[in-house]
Amino acid sequence: MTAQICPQNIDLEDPLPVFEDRSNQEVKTTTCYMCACRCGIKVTLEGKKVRYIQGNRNHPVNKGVLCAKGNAGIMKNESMAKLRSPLRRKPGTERGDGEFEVISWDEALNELTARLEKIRETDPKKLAFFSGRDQMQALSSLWAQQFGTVNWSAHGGFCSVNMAAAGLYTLGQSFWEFGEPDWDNTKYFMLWGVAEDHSSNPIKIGLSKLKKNGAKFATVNPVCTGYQAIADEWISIRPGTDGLFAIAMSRVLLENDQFDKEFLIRYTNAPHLVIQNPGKSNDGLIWRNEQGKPQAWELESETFIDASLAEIKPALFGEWQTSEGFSVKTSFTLLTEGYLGDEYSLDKVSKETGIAAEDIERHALEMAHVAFQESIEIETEWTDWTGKKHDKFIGRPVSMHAMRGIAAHSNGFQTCRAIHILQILLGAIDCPGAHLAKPPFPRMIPPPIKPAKNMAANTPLQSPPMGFPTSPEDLCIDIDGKPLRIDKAYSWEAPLANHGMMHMVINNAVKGDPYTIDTLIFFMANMAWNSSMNPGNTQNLLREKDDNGEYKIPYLVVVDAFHSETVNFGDLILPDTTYLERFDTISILDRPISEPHVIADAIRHPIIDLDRDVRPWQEVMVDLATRLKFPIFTNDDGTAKYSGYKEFITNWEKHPGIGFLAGWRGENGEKSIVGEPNPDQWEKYIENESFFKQDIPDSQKYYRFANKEYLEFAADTHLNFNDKPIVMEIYSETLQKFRLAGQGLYDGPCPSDEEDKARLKKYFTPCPSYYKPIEVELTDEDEYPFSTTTQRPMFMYHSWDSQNAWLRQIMAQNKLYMNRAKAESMAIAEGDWVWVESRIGAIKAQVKLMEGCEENTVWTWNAIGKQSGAWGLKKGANESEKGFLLNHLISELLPTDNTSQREMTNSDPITGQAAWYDARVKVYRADDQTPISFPQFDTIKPLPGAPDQPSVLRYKTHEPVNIVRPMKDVLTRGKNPR
Amino acid sequence: MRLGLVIDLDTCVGCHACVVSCKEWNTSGTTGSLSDQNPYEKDPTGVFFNRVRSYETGNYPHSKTVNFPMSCMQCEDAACVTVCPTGASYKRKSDGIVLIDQDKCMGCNLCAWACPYGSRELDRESGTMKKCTLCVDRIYDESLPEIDRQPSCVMTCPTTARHFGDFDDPNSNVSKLTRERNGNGLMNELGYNPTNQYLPPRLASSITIEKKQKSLVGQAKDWANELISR
Amino acid sequence: MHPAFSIIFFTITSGLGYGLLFFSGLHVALGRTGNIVEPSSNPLVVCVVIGLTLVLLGLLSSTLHLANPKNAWRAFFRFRSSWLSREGVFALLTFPIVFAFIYTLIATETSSVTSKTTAIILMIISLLTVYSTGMIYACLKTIRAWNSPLVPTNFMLLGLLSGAITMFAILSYHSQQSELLLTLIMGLLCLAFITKAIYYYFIGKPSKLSIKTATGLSSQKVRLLHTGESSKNFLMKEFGFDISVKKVLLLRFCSILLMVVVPTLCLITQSTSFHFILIAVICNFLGLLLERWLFFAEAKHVVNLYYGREA
Repeated sequence: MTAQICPQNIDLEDPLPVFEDRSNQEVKTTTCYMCACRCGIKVTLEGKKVRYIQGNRNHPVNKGVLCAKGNAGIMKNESMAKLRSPLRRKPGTERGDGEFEVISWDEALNELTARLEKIRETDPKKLAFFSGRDQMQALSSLWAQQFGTVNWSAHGGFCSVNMAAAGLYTLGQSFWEFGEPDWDNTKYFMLWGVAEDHSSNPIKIGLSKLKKNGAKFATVNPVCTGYQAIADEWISIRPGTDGLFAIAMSRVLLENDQFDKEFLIRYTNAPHLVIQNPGKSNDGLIWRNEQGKPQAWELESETFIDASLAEIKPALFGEWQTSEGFSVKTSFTLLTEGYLGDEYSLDKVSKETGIAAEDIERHALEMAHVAFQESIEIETEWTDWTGKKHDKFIGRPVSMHAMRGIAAHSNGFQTCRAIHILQILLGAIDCPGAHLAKPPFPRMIPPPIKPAKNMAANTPLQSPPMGFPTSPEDLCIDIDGKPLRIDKAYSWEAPLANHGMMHMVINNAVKGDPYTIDTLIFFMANMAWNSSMNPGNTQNLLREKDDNGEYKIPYLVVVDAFHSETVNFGDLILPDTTYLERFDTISILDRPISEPHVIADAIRHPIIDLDRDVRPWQEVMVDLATRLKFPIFTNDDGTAKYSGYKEFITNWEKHPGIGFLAGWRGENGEKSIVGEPNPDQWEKYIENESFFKQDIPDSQKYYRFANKEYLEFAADTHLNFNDKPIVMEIYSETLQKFRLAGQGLYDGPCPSDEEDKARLKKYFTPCPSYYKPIEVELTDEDEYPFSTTTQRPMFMYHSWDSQNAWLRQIMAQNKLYMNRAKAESMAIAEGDWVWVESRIGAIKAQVKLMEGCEENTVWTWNAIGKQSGAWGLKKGANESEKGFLLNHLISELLPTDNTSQREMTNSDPITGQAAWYDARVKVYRADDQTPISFPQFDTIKPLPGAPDQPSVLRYKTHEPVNIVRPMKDVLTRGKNPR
Repeated sequence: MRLGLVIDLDTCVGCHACVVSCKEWNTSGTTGSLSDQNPYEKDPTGVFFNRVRSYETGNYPHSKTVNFPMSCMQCEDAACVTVCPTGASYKRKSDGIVLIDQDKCMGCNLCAWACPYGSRELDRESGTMKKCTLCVDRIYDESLPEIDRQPSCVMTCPTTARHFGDFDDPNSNVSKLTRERNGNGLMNELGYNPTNQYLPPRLASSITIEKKQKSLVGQAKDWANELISR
Repeated sequence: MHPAFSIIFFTITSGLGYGLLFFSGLHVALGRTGNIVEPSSNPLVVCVVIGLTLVLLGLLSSTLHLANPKNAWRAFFRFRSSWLSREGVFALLTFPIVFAFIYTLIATETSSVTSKTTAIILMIISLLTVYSTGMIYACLKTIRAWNSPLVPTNFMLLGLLSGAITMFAILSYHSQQSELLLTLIMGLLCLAFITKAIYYYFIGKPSKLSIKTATGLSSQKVRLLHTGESSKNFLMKEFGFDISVKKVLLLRFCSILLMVVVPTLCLITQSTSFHFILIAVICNFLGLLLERWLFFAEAKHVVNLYYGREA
């Protein structure tokens, strides 16, 4: 941030008093957690209260700025919804009735331990442990692995796994915390489907830079708010059709011969030859030699050759006969043939997306112009993986970023791959001005971790519960092809479900499909409300009992910091702390906070004292792990290995020298990333503003997928799995294998169910393709003509901030936004109450008309609608009385034609990503204009010990020091103000 | 000196960081606390010095959204100062900041009536009028590092849409920005001579494109290969 | 503008009180006290005492509007720039002047130079104070409906009118009559009606200000999308008052009817009947209440433009 003027108050004409008593104040640094951006903050304490929170200028993520949420941390801490003690549902009361009794931690943990012990020694998969607002997936995943249950995942399955998966199977990195635009050097930036993102402050800082530099900013979104407000061009699009747009633009590049051939040949599998052998088990697989190396056609020698060799000149296009009885085509030929197909003609695409054909062409050619005619060079010496030295990095300064608007569709994986292909065609990956990976990425495609399948009593899993299947053999299914996981991730229904499918757990557990469970633990996930589809039904499922009168989910443990709607359903409530009250790690092993050229991690430490009987969940996990005698947490003699979370973090090593925290390793804290445990590591972090960073040397900054120095460094430090160059996949052999399985041709496990086969055949195209969102395909589009989407506001993080007295003043009621002209044609006026109906239900909400909304889309803000009484809000609060959720209109199951057809998850068939934005609705004005939203739910009872909400807040940490105007001035100052 | 802000409408994304940062600084600041009514129930409301409104210009699909932060404009000819009967509202001679002496204000609201920008609000708990102080309790505070002697909203803005400086100095950042980007005050026709300047949204320059004259060539396999080494 | 009853009541009672004071002074200044001043009773003193009481009542009422009344005593110090300060000072000065006037009425000859001089000073201070009250509103460029010389004019005319009718009633109660006063009342009724009509015409003209001029956004159409707060804040509670055109027209009609028409009819037909004069006083007062209420309700503060509303 540039320094602003600091005026000298030497003018005694207007003397000022001393305003702050610095002797009573202390400034501590830590990491924010009002969202998952994890900016560095400086917290000024006064006495025991928080005086001020500001961004930390030295922090690599936010560099001193802070968003509305971060600035509202004081009120998060003052929230009436903070849980105060462990609770147990009163015996004899019904789940969801909100009758709780306060218990001690000992009681709570003894009860839970006993239950978990029993599960672990009989049938570990009966424990399902899923986490939502996760920060330490690495730890909770490790915990689940040690317990021995596959039924773990974080929340990515209902969030944006499509982004991550598409990127990791194509580029070796992705958007979001995996990669970011080169804000300083980019000249053209296209934003797809982003309202607000976890990388929010870096995006804001970046956008400001690129606008100042005169770069063009185009945004693809059905709604024009937020970032879109400062875009140079807003491209309104029909939700779910972005894949068509990306493919059409790629087609324009191909047709106009404006694509980066060098990039394709050097860094991707575009020249790899693909077997054309219809009806055989090797059809569509990459043609490999005996050493397993992919083949290419060498143009000069006119022979087949090992494609991984350097110094060859392979063909991009062509088909040749082999001596093995089949012909081969290059991947790129297949891609091009597909893209030049009739279904991707500009006119057809224009009709589906709503973007004019000439605009589609113009956008593509503008990007091409910037990429190729305005390319940039950074003079630095670097060495590529072949050993060849270069003296500069060539940059194609076109960058992109995409998020849930792309991901939350059943075609999101293919769409995101299509965007990546577009980037590859422009040569705009990890080069100056383009899309840069963030350490520990880029990585092998995909990372060589397979999801665990085999469970045994009292035995840890041999691999993590989450992984990256590359063939049907990697699926988590039994001999009969039935899912092994409760969420059915990594089954034929969702083979590449890299982040699990948390949104299916409740439904599947209650239906006993694939099996029933005993204990369900939810951490920081509001599954009984805004994180579920059809929450009303989900609440009923949680209450459902079997014929013996037992709950179908026998035991529900809810871990949370706040009184959410889900807490109301728990049998056991374990209360967590707020982010200002605990030790925490933001680890490279987890969801890192690196910037493209800065390797970073961070901690949190307690800034304020705990004033209630709550414990950080990490501590509790370590405690439980120790009680349950998990091998990693137990010495050989059976005693506890670690005294608690802090000691565990400092001492546990994933590989020799690699632990959760990368900074100040080694006996004396002199090593970085790799080094022996340092017992004073936490103190070092606290001394150093709670974060660690290491800059990437200039010669390693770009082309890291092929940068020798970087690849070796990444392998040495275990950021990557080996030092081989990363070859990007235009053509996904992984997908083709699954398609072969669907065709019954694969030489290995194949599905037996017709519907599974059909899905694999249709959706698992090895080159990106577009298909209509599945829900839309099954819907009568005339009856339900509107698409629906939600977006997160910049000042609220999902359900977390209606409890915040300052933030909720900005928006306590969400409205249904509609295109004005469209609404007026339907005789809907500003402020009217309307019914919104889908195939599964109806809601009533108040409209707000706007221009910046695609005409066939209605949308609202995420998670503002609340159940009455939750989140420390009184009955009658706008959030519950007038706010609403669109979730009630969306089902986690696709419609079936008849009862014999299987209930299929409403998700992306490749990754299991929840297809929130596929929903289709109709809208009409309500006859009854009473200003109350529908449905309304019972008011949640206050928890024991919950404080009464004050009707006035007068927050301050010291008495104000008023500036007194002298009476002389009052009496003598003239008519003019100065 | 004539201290004030420049607000860049070209980069404001409406994130409300400035709104909340102002609130948290000032609730314990020189005119604190900034009270809130009904904080946890129906119709919450409270004292904020800075608010961000959003507007749409034009019609779909060519509409544009503009986010519009507004706080006290520190007018040179501030009507709120002229009308104040108790002298609580006044403009500092040295730097032009308009302040309200909390010990003198009787809460008659007249200054709010006089202000066209909605900069002043009544704090029901104190019965006095409050407004942006341009963080006068920060900018001269020598116990803060020099770089932190800025208004809270300016420091926090993630898109650098807010700038602070001396408009009497033609070489200051605010003066230069106003000149370079054709900044303007709001409602100048009312004659209050607002100090804060607004920079209008920029127009993007167009990008030239190159098209191939030939149309799509038959099949992909007919496409020519270039000799490119790996 | 949100009509605050305490302020409405204050300006009306204060105006009425000053009207009483003015006309009391006028009669003495012109030497037209005639049979009004008699040894046994002195209706002029009654007028002046009631007038001063109403002024005091009005002043006290205005402090009800203050959120921090303990600082009300400071309101006199910015006479140099603030009309509210000036009004306060003049109101304060009214008291010694009135006491002096009463003294001249009781202790001296009403035709003496002292009496006439005091009377003229009383008239001036009355007009000045009411004028200042009007100027509090008229000096605000932010409220187009108030920013006009017609406002202090109306305040003065209506204050004089209501004061005159009330004085006429007090005289009648004491079985006195003043031809001068009756003539002036009829004149004021006409003037008040005409200036009010001009005023309604004036504020009916379309405004040059719009959301476009307020924001400086020069596009063809500018619309509000979000105010940044989802419940009414101080600004909207104070300035965001809604009233339909139908209601406005109805209330204007009733106001003129009660304030002007009914008193005119009463005084033309029954200028000697106390009861009819009393009806005139009451109707005029009620009409004034409506007029003043509308004065606030119809006034639109320019900040409304930022809220996508009219101003």
